[in-house]
Order: sequence, then structure tokens, then C-alpha cells
Amino acid sequence: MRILKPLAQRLLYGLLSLLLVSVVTFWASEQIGDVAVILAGEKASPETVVRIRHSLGLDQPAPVRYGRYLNNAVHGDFGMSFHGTHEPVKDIIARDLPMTARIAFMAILLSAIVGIFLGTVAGVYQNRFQDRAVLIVSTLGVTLPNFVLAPFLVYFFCLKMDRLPQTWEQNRVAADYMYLILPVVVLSARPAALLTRLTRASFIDTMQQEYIRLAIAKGVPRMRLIVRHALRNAILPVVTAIGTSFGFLLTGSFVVENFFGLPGLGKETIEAISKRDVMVVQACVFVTGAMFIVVNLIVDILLPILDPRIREAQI
Amino acid sequence: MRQRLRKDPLLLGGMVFLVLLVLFAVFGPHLRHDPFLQNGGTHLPPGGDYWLGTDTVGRDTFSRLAYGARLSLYIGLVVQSISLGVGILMGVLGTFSPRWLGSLIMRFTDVMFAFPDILLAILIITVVGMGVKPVIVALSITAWPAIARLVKTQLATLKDREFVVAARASGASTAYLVFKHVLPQLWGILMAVTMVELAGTILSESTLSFLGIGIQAPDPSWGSMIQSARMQMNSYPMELLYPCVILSLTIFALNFVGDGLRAALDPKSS
Repeated sequence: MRILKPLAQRLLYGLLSLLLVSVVTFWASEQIGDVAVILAGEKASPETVVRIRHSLGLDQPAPVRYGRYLNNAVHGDFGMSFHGTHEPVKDIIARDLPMTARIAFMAILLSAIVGIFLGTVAGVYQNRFQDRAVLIVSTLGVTLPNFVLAPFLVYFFCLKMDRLPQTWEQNRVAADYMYLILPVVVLSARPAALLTRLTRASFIDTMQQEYIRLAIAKGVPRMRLIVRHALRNAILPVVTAIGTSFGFLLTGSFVVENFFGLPGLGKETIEAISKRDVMVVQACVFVTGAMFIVVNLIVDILLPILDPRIREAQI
Repeated sequence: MRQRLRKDPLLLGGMVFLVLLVLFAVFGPHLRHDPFLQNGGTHLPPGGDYWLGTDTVGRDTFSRLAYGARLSLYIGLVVQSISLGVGILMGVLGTFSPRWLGSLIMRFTDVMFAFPDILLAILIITVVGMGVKPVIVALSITAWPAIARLVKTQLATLKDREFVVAARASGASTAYLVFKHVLPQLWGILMAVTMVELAGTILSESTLSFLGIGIQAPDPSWGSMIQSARMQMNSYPMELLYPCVILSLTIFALNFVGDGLRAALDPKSS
């Protein structure tokens, strides 16, 4: 039963981080100016402004407003956009979230596969040609900005070779995944490179351990030794890193969605900022931040399930 | 140091590049044409009077790159100075203050460290507006936790060493101890880490400018230059090349110098 205690602790920290995000987003929305005036429009009479202010409860003290904001946010209500048809922010999020989630999920899958594979290859051939090659590629992947990588890929695959479409279009001529290949590759470059480095270090570390020497001495076949004996242990810190690299994915999705014109949260947020549409920005940041916290929470909970040693240590 | 440089060509190359970059940022904007003046023809090819050609509205690309370097380095250095100040203060407070306060500070630092920096920057920029100052504010708020955590882990290993105990025994106050005995040992590693962090700040600044919410027109930033060049990349792909190359090289150089310095400071690695 005592395994529950660290889990509860993690949950508590996760909730506290979420609360911190909600306080910050609430604070941000308060700084923008009088929402009632913005909603009423410039030509509205003072009475209308007062009426709107009262109907939205903006004349109440800040803690009350924060409480209501939090309550609404938990129920998925983020108010409505200041612009256009005053569309509910909830609908905007519901429209944009699938695209962001889709590319983020595909990118994390791709970067995990590529990272663990390349990292293992580099670890197996430590200090040899294969290792050097992987090191160069991963250094490029970590340092090259994604908005530099994206135009280069577009230049070669879209302009020179004419194999892939350049941007997402309303009327797509090819299958959807054709449009998503480049965005997902660009998005996963940095996490993949980081996971490669980490897998390599962890793999080399694991290969030095006694039980691996024993396995070699016993004559365990090479492939089986690498995959079943070494990698199974080496992969644990990599799993934690997949959670933290989700942060890079979120940051990257702002760039990638804008670059390739994908209708997702990142594109919506940037457009909302230039329109000063705080309600939308606030909700997008809240949802993105919440996703980040939840993914890391899931990783924290998964880890003891994967690693008996952590499980034992916690009991 | 000379031996170290000979053994580590990346460190040497990075240092040479950074010196050239600083010279470029200081003198570049005054060398040829005014970076804001729309005097030439639009989209002139490189060579001739305009070394790297002109952009969409006929401004000198060379001067704009240099001015962009100036802004990037300025923002990076200001942000890193603030981040060093706040980070060291938080790290020291986290180590030497009462336990409850220390763990509170470090918990807060951890949350701030883990939170994606662009997300917070976006929120701050929505509130304060766009431009050089908001970018500095937004990036400083997200930069210090890395330094605070580094200082905290370094102090944790230092604070029980004999010389600290000896200084305490001879009646040194905590402040004296920190500033005279402990912090001077950290300058090397802090400088190495600051180089790498500086790369991160310059990258974040150009990311924000690329997204159109960082440095605003007519001020040039490498990020916004990449953004405006990519709109025309079907017709003028070369214009995209220059800001991309200089930004990437700057980030490579800072990382190589940071890693090289760290390796040079670590006796175990040689």
C-alpha cells in the first residue's frame, strides 16, 4: 500500500503546478485592461459597460473572480473570444487541439524510435565510425533551430524534388499524412537528438555493469544481450526524458504549425496574440501547460511500473 | 589553455567565430549602408555595392544581419546578467536559508525550470506587448532557474568541505563565507554554463521574432529575417540562407565554447 504515498505526492505536485499555471493565466487576463469595455466596444454607453461588467461578475473582488475562473476552466469554459463572432473559446480549443495533439503524438513516437535506435547503435559501436556519425547528427539535431531546419527540408523536398506539399491547404490533393511528414520530422528533430544522446550514455553505462559481463561470459548471443539485457535497463532514464522532451515539442509546435500553416493550438495562439485576444491566449497557454504537466505526471507514474528497483525503493 | 585549444579545435573555432561576431555586431551596421534605409533596388543579388544583396524593400542585407547580431547579443547578455544575478541569489538562499524556506525556493525553481519557456514568454508578451524590452523580461523570467539549480548542486558539494568549516570556525558570517570563499570557486563553471544558456536565449529570442511576437519591424532580428525571407523562398531562396547560417553558426559556436570550457575546467576529462 505504501507505493501509493509517492504517487499521491506526485499527484499533489502536479496539481500545485496546474494551480500555479492557472494563477499566472488568470493574472495575465486581468492585466489586459477592462474586459467589460473591450466587450462592449468603444461606442457603448457607460450604462452598458456597467451592465456587462455586472453580468460577467467583473465588479466582484479578485479572489472571487479567480475562484470562478478556476471553476469555469475545470468545466472547460474559458469565456469567449473578444473578436469576430465572439466564438466561445471552448469551441476554438476543441477545433485546434486535435491537430496539435496529432503532430505531438506522432513526433514523440518518431523521436522515441529514432532516438533509442540511434543511441543504441552509437553505444554498441562506441568511439567508432558509427558512433561519430551519430554524434554529428545528434549535435546538429540539438543545436539547429527548427525554423532553420524547416526551410531547408522544404527547399529540398518541396521545391527541388517536388515530392511533398509545402503547406497545409483547405483543399488537399494528397492524403493528410503527406502534409504531416515534414512538420512531424521537424518537430521531432530536437527531442530525437536529445534521446539519442541520453540512450547512448545510459547504454554505455549499463554495459559496464557486472551482470552484463556475466552475460557475456555466459555466452549470451549478441543481439539478445543488447536488446534483452542491456537496453531493458538502459531505457529507464530515457522514459523520463520522453516526458521532459514533451516541453520541446510544445515549443516546437508553435513554430511548426506557423511554418506549415497547420490549424492547431500554436497557430491559434500566435494569431490571438497579434489581435490581443487574451481569452484565447490564456486558454491556449492553460491547455498546453496542463498537457505538459499531465504527460510528465503519467511518466512519473509509469516509471515505477517499468522499473522494479524504483518500486522497491519506494516501498 | 593553449594546449587545451590545440587539442580542442571546436573550442578554438567557436571562440574565433564569437570574436568575429562581436566585431561584426559592433562595426558591421556602420560599414556599408544604413540597415533601415530603403535605398537599393529590391531583391538585388549579392555582390557589387550590396555585399549580400538587398531584401524585399531594398534594405542592405549585410547591415541588417549585423544589426540583428547587435540586438541578439544585447538581449542575450542582458538576460544572462539578470539570470546570473537572480539564479545565484536563489541558489544561495536555497542552500543557506532555513530549511522550510530553502525547500520552498527550490521547489518553486523546479516548477519554473520544467515549464516550457516559450509558453510563459507568450503569456508575458500578451500582457506587456512586443518589442525588445518585453522579450528581455520574458526571457529573464524563464532563464534564471537553470542557474539557480546549478548553484544549488555546486554549493551542496562545497558547503561541507574543510575550508568552509574552517572559515566558519574562525567566525566568518554566512555572507562573507559565500562571497569570499564559495562563490569564487563557481565562476568557471558558471561562465561555461552561461555560454550554453546564452545560446538558448538567442535561440528563444529569434524564435519569438520568427513567430512575429518578438522584436518588431523595422528593427531587424535574425528570426524575423528568416520569417520574411521564407515568404519569398520560392523565388529568392538565397535570401533565406544568410540569416539561417549566421544564427546556426552562433548557436553552434556558443555551445562548443561552453562545452569546451566545461571540459577544460573538469580535471577528470583530460
